[in-house]
Amino acid sequence: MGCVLIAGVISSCKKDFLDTNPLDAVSSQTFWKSDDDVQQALTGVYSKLQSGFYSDTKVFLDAYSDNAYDRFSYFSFDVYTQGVINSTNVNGTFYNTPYQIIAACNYFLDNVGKAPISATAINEYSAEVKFIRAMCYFDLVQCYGGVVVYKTTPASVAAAKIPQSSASDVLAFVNSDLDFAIANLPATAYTGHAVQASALAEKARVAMFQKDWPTAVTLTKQIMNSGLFSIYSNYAGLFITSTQQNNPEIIFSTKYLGPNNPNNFDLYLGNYAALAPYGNLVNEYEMKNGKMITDPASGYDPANPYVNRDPRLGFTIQVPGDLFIDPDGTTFQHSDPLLTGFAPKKYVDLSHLPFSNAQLSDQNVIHTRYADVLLMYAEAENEVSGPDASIYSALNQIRQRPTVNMPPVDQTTYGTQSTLRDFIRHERRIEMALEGERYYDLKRWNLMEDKLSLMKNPGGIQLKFGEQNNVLPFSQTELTANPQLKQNAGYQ
Amino acid sequence: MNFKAKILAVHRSVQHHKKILLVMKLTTILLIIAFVQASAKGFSQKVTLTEKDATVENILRDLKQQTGYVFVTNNVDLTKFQINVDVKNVNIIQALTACFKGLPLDYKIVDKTVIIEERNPTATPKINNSNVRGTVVDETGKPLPGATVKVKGTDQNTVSDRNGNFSFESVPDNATLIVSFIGYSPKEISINGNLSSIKLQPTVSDLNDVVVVGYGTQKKVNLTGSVGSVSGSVITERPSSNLQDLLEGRIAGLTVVQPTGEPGVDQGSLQIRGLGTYGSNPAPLILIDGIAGTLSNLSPQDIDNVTVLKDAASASIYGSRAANGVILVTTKSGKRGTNTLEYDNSFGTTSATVLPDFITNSVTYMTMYNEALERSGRPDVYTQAQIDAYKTGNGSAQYPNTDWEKYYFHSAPIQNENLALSGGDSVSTYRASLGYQNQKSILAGSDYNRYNSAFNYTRKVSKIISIGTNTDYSYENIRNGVFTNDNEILLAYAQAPTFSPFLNDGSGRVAVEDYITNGTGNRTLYERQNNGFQLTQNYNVNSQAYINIHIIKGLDWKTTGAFVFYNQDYKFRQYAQPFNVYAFQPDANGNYTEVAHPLTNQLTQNSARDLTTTVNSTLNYQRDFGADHSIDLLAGYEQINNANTYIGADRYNYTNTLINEINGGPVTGDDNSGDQTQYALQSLFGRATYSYKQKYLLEGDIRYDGTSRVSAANRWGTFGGGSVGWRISEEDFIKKHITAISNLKLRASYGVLGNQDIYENGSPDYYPYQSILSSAQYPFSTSLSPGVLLTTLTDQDLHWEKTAITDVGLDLELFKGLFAATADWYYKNTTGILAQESDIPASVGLSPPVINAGAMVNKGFELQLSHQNHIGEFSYGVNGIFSLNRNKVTQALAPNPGVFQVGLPYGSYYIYVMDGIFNSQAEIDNSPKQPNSGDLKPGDIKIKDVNGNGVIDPGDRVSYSPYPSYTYSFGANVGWKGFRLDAFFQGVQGQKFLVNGWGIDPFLQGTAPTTNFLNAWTPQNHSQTTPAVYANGYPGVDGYTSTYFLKDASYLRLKNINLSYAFPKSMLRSIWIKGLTVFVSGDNVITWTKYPGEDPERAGSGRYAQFPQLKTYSAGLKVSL
Repeated sequence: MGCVLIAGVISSCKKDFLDTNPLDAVSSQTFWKSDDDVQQALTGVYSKLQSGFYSDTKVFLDAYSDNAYDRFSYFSFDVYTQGVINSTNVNGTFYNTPYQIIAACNYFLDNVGKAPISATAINEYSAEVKFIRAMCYFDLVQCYGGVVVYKTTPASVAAAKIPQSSASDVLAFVNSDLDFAIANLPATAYTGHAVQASALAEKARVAMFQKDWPTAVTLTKQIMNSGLFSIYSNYAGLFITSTQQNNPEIIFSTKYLGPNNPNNFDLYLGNYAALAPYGNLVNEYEMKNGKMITDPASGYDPANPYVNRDPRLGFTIQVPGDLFIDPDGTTFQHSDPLLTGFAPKKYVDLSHLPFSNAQLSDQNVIHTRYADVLLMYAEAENEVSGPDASIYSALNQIRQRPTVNMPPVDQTTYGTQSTLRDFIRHERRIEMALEGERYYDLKRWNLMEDKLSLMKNPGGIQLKFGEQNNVLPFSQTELTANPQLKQNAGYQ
Repeated sequence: MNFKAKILAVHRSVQHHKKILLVMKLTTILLIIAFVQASAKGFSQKVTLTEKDATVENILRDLKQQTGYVFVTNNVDLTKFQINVDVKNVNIIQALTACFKGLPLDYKIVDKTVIIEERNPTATPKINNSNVRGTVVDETGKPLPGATVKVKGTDQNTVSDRNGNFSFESVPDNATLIVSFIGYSPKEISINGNLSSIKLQPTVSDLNDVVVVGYGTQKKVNLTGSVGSVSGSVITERPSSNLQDLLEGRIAGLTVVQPTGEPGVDQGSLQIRGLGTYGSNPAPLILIDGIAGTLSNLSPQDIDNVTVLKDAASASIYGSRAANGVILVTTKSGKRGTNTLEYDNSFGTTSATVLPDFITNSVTYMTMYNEALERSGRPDVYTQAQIDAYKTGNGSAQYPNTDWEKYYFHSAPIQNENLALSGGDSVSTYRASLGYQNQKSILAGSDYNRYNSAFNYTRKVSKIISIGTNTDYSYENIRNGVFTNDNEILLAYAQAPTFSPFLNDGSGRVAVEDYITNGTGNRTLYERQNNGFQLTQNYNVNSQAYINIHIIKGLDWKTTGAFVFYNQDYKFRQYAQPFNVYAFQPDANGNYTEVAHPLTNQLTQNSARDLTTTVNSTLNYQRDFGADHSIDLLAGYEQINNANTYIGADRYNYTNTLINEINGGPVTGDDNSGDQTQYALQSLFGRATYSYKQKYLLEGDIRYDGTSRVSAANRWGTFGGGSVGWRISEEDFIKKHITAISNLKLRASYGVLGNQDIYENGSPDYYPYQSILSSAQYPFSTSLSPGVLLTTLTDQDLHWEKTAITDVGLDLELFKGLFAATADWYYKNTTGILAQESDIPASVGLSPPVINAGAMVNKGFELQLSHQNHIGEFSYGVNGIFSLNRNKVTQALAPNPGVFQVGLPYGSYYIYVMDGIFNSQAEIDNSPKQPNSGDLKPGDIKIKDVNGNGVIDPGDRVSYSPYPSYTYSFGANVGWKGFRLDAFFQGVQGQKFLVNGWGIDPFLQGTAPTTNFLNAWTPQNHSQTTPAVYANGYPGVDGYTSTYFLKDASYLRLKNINLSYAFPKSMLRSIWIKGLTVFVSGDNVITWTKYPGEDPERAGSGRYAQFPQLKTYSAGLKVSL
């Protein structure tokens, strides 16, 4: 086009004369030419997991529950837990991060077909990405209900301004992504890339959310029967880098690697104790004999409240008297007063003491582990059939982890579907404390209002949760940018 | 191909007695048998030859040695002939007749050239043996060198020598000569007439002037677009080193803002007909001899003329690069018939035009400072004892009243020297020049040096082929302190008068503040000047060569290849602290306290290279059909590619200030960067002009452009324009009845242009349509995997901005050039201006794309008037230029109310209106609630309740245009005999700047207030213009921007006045000098303005402190040999 050969002095008009590309970065024009390119794009998708509530800040989600307090208001959880949330004060993290990850996924899925690699390879890579996309859309549904769905990158800003899909439509899309993932991901142990069990567990979680208990049972059973995963012996070690590599319990996580790809667990949780566990959580821990502290026979001593408790308390929460000792023998002091009297310990690597303001760490953020799968199985199976041996067995596997070594579930006390349901919820709170699951669990159980209404924050303010708070409001900025988006009920 | 012999007349240079013999033979390819021989001896008119069986070549060599004649053949194989000849003391004709007797050869003599051809029996030339001699003179009777003299109806031609003389050795009987010279009406005269003084009359009218247009030239009279031009001689009346600054006020519609007077960084910004875009490069396209380049590297002395294509029709031949207008620079070339050595120089001295008038009395300063601090609710700086000490010791060495401006600002030299050798004959022209420019700054530490050379050569190789080459080279060496411009100036301002540069103990130690307890903490300018340096070295080469093939009559095929190479080496060196510095006043024990002022010890070095190669080829067909129709058709192809590379490095903590190279510093903490960008353009273009009876003029231009900067689907675009002209003066009702009107032309044009120079956030974006992936990483296992990530949504459909310009113009000339006027009205509409979308939903998960969204209109009016006359030996002229432009945003993607809003000029100031000064608390209480009511005191600025709602809120702000109402310039010249006086005035009206900081904000970092604050509001003195003095940061005055800070920078200045004297040629002839002119010149001599304290000619709004413009007085001479 546009070529006229005028003379020999003009070099023949090359077709690509006008094709120039950036030389210091790759662009869509030059990319997607090899398997290596695809892997780099895949790495890009995973790298986005190191943001928002998929990163080390995931644990702060427990501050939107009865588990802990957001001490420095990193995520404005005061606003949330006091029920005064609205379209102008809502924190964008719930919304923006999953959509940014979805954008990365869509870009990958839009383009991977250009790469000269086998269809099998394309499917396997796509399965990983669809799993991640499904996880993000599912979290959006859990937070907002129906949301805007982009199955591919919007062609323009105008094309992005569309109404939200209903929650069930979004979940149907999530399930179709997960089905693709389950069909194409390798059925292997987890090391860093998503595996089949990652998708199975996520789909089970979706089923739990939809109260589709039989599906949840089937999916969790598939993982349990695979023999690829097991309860890891060391509870504390689950959350420490050195023992997280190839850990048989971890099914999916966001990974980090210091010193060049670090996170702030030791800084936020260790040095600042920014996530302050409530006494309410501490009190939930059983005595070592398996009895609740409220049980007069438990042997609980209010004068020595932290002795003879479920060992997981000591692994999860720094209680008064539990001192962090620096290598020089002195006691580490948190920079600010501990507002609840407790500091987090899960995900804190005490071998990194003394903590400083420049503290960097690289603990992986667990999204799914085998104990969670067993707990989901127990909960779902109890809903399907009521108490049975497989449920107690699943719970006991968790309770009798060598480092925890709690007595088996008391089958007489928790022998009905209802009492067992409560016990499973209790066990789930303890096992998964400060891992960022409590917010989603309480909402799923419709217990947010019940639980928060029992609580005051350290400032003495009563916590509240209204009916409308089961979903979050869309921000006003977003509603302005996308006029097709309708505000959730209760926030108009 | 139909090659025919070309008569190649190599003329004899009289004073050097040099002769060149060129025997040229054209066979199927050009075969040149040339021998060049210089001889000091004279030539005989009589020839003696005795040869037997000699080759023609030998004979001709012999003849050449005896006579100096040049021999040329046409396709004749001379080796096949042998000659026997024996003649004594005969003339050349007799000799040649004898030589060629019996041979089938014929010859023709033209001037000093003999053309040998095979005999054509039907066309034996009739030779007039007598010499034809003559002299060409101008209207005043002075010899006119370089005039072309042609024998009508033949190919014979020559040019007059330096005394106006010409001669033909043989011409046909009764021949007629046509004598012509640029700028004069051609004259025909019979050889039998009086040839001793052929007087040419100058064409008073400029109607025959040729104007450079895109890929060619056009007669000014035939122009239908809006084109302005200025000649090199006008430009160089001013002594500035920067070509773009010299264009200021010279062309209607071209705005030049020279930001500063600091040498080396004073390049003005150019704008044609208002700001055309805010999303891409708003600068005009600059072409130097047809090839894109930059003006700042050129020596003004090498410029022949500058032409500006302002409307879309004339610029549209440059398509997607022309949206902001086109500036065509033509460099000088040699003139036929001359051999000239020119030398010119100018030496001058520069000083600041104006500097703020600061309070320099220490006691006043100290007292005011304390009062101002008290007003701002802050503790005193000076104790009463300290003030008393200064009162007592008033002005003594220990208690000085230092005027820092006097200390820092000096006059500085400027120097300019140029040497040019130029000339040409009927087949070739040449010009070679060397230039040197040096300018020191009025502040210590800056030194600007530029070295230029230019070479221009053209040659007619044959009747149909001509070639040429043109190269400009420049080297700039610019040394500055670590700070330049306002950063440097504000340090000179931010000093208290209470201390001297050095301690008063004679130790030579440097003082940086008065009392250690009161110090402002500022470094002094003196420290900064010794704190390191910046060195910029620019190398620039513009080089091109062309070949033109004259295919048939009227049809020319020209192909040009060019490259423009630019290299910049930049070095920034900062030392930690060059010497220890102290507080000026000793402590109670008489000891001086050291002040710590360490800085980052750093070396930064960057190298950038930019190479643009251009190839273009044009076919041009010009033809008249009968007397009524003439057409000019142009078709062309062009391709351009550019690569820009840079590499940079930083190292820190050098152990020694003597080490200023990268390798000399520690590797720890070093840093580096580098990148290359590329772009390419490919185009087809064409132009057609048609004129009917030189009365109705029609032009159409089209360009089909492809750019690498737009996606493959959208990268080709068609731009074009058309224009019409009607020369009303050619209509009989004027031609016959109103003879006073020598030219009246109505023009109209419309066209659409593009801007492929796409910007993002103010800098070029070469791949705006591409989704550029940022790098990422993730540890799948125990090592990090590299990854890439899309972070921005990209608009694949992104395309260039488009600018449509409508122009209607009128050219009028009365009394054959006595009066001339040109008026233009234009409407320029830019659409699709690139802007980043602001309303992207967060659900997209990516940064918003840049899209074509904005629109802006510039409309305006330009008027250019001139009157030039001479009465006997007295000549005079006046001329004036008026330009008016109105800018308006018509579409805004992310409007910013009052500043960037549809209907307002782009970048308006949106500020409160000052409504006097509060005189009492009661007045404050009774006035609408001010933005900072709680803190207000009498003496604070009162803000006007514009909307009358009783409260001052953001709605009371008013928008003010940041652009001038109009700009204008005018000049006058008078001449008498050799004397000439030129005065050039330039003005800007209605320009407002919003200023802040040093020099207007009292006591900002200790800056002394300007003397107008002596009349500031006090309870006794109720000034309504200057608020009570406050120390920097007092909210009652600068807490909110008001018109108090909006300063009227309108001005009119006598930009230049130049008196020259050209010595009479008669006086110079005896000393072998062709011309000698001496001149004295003053630049920026007088300024009329209301702008307070500083020079109103400055860059944009912002800091009040600006490097001043320069007042320059210079003198020099121009001599030609």
